[in-house]
Amino acid sequence: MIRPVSWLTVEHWRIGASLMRVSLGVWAVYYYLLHWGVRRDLWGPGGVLPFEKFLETGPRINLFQWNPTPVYFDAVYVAAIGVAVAVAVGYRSRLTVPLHWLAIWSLQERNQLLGDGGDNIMRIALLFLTLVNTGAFFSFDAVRASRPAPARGPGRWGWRYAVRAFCERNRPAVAVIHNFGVLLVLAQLSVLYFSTGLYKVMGELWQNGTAVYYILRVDEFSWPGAEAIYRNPYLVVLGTYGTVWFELMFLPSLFNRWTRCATIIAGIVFHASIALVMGLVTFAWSMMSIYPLLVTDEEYAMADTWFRRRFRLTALYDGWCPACLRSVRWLSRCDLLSLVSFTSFREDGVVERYGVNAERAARRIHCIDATGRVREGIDAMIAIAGRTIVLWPLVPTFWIARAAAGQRLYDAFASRRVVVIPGACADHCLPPVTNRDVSGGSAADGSRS
Amino acid sequence: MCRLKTSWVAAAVMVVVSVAYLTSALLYLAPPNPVSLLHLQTVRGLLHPFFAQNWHLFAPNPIRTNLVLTVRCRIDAQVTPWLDPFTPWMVQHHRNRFSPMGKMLRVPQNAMFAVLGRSADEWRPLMCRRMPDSPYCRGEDPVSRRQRELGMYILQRVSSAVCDGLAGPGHAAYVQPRILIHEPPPWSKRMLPASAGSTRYLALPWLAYMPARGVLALDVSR
Repeated sequence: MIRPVSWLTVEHWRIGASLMRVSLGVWAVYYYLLHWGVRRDLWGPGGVLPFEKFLETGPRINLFQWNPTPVYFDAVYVAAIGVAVAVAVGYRSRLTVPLHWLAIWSLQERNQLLGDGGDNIMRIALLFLTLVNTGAFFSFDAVRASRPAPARGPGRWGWRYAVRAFCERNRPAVAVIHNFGVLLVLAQLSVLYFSTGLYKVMGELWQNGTAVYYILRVDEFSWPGAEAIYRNPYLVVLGTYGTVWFELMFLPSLFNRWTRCATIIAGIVFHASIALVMGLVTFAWSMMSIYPLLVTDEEYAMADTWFRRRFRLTALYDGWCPACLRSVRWLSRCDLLSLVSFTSFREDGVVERYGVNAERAARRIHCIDATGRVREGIDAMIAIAGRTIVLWPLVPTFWIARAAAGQRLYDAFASRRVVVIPGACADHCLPPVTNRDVSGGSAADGSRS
Repeated sequence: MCRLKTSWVAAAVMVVVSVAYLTSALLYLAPPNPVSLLHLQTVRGLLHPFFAQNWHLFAPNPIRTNLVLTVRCRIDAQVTPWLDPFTPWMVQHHRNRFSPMGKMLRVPQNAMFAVLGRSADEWRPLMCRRMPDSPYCRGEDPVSRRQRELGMYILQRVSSAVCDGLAGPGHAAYVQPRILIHEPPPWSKRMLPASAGSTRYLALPWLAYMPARGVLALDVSR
């Protein structure tokens, strides 16, 4: 009896909940911006459902019910975008997630004729998410929490301090509520799949294996290339029975790690197909936003360990070169996944440890990957950029430069750098760099000490 | 001791809430059955409006028909030909999966479904087998009537916007929506084009023009 209670009083699924928050926030920003140009038609006071008609539907707690002017509508819409951005980046997530739910709820209730299954699951999941700590990772909240708390002073008073102190005092109870919130989201997803699967097995077209054909022949859910699917009996039967099988087996599959992994992959393929072929992009996105909760924190940690072991990179740079130091500082900031560790080859023992040639290291940056493979120059830059998400747009440029000029372009830059030898010169004080030593190219002697 | 107490209280409250919610959701979503029938009103009271949900998602049988809204306008004493302003939206939706047209198309589509009385209520066929003459089965219950009226209102407004797009705001005196119901060929004739299916029209009555002030920005002048 003790174990379940002690398990419940520690927050679980914190990474999954944070990823879900990010996904739902980005989804909402996309949703708002996608419909920006038609917002007044769809939900505005003078749109297809005018304000007076909307009031006749008897709205409850709706942000759009208090004022009929377009300016007010636009102000709420813009504020909702701001809230969605705050949710995506995890700014005050305990406050912004409920506000986000309110904004989404208000928009969907403003014109009930527009909703689909994705909108429906979104608003229910968001309501449960108000119970969950979604700001533990990938958030400004996490950054703020990592800072030391202020000592005595005026900061220890006021409502923020009171809320924080209350949560700290009741941390186990808050964790219990968090865990139940996550379990409710997962239960809701399971109920959704089970319910729709149960109804599908009752339908004649799902039984005889032709449902996908009839769906794809409806213009709203079709696509110009869909003939190749709906005319092929194998694909139609596979799609029809596969859908029912997936939906009914979703819940039982969650109780084993391997079947759960298979279900996650199948679910992503299933919803990506729905988005692409049937055009239900926002529906598919909102369903997939819940999937990060299907992975536990321990499994994320295992995946992270494997990922780092597989993709880690050690970069050996010239610590005597001020420009290199600046570049390394900048690259370290860009390395959001912390996959690249930068070390100056000038430090004692580094060259021996990694078994690289000191003279070559003085001329070109070196990278050693997890398998021990050494890359240098432009190849090393490609390897670093490949592991640095914000530099991905530069990778094609590096490839083109590599194909067009090989290492020459890199050498031309590197040979012109300034090297400042510190007062005490260790074993690796080198004579001025010449490109001839490395590439046999031009004899540009660019290194000055 | 105090912390342990608060976590026990939190756990107890959350267990009660979770069990109540999941039981209600399962009864609410399950196909018609005797237990759901006994508790339907309570369950609906608990879940509506914040937890209202419908996961039919193409079940028990998917939609098999294309509905296309066409409109004609009476301007002065003349009646225009039938106009089809929504097919270009569909083309745009097919061309670009990341356009707002998917949502825009829901406006006429769901209004037509509402007018035609389409419902996801699984209790309706069951009731209608037993009491075919009840108002509920004839679609004369308050919920069905409200839905049909809302659908008709939207069609009237959209049709007025179509006429505005054709002749300028306020020129039409009456508008007439017509629903084209197209059923694609059955599976056995899957190689045939869509035109091989059956098509029928449902012309709705002439409706008074309703100022729509540029709603949907429909351009039918092409």
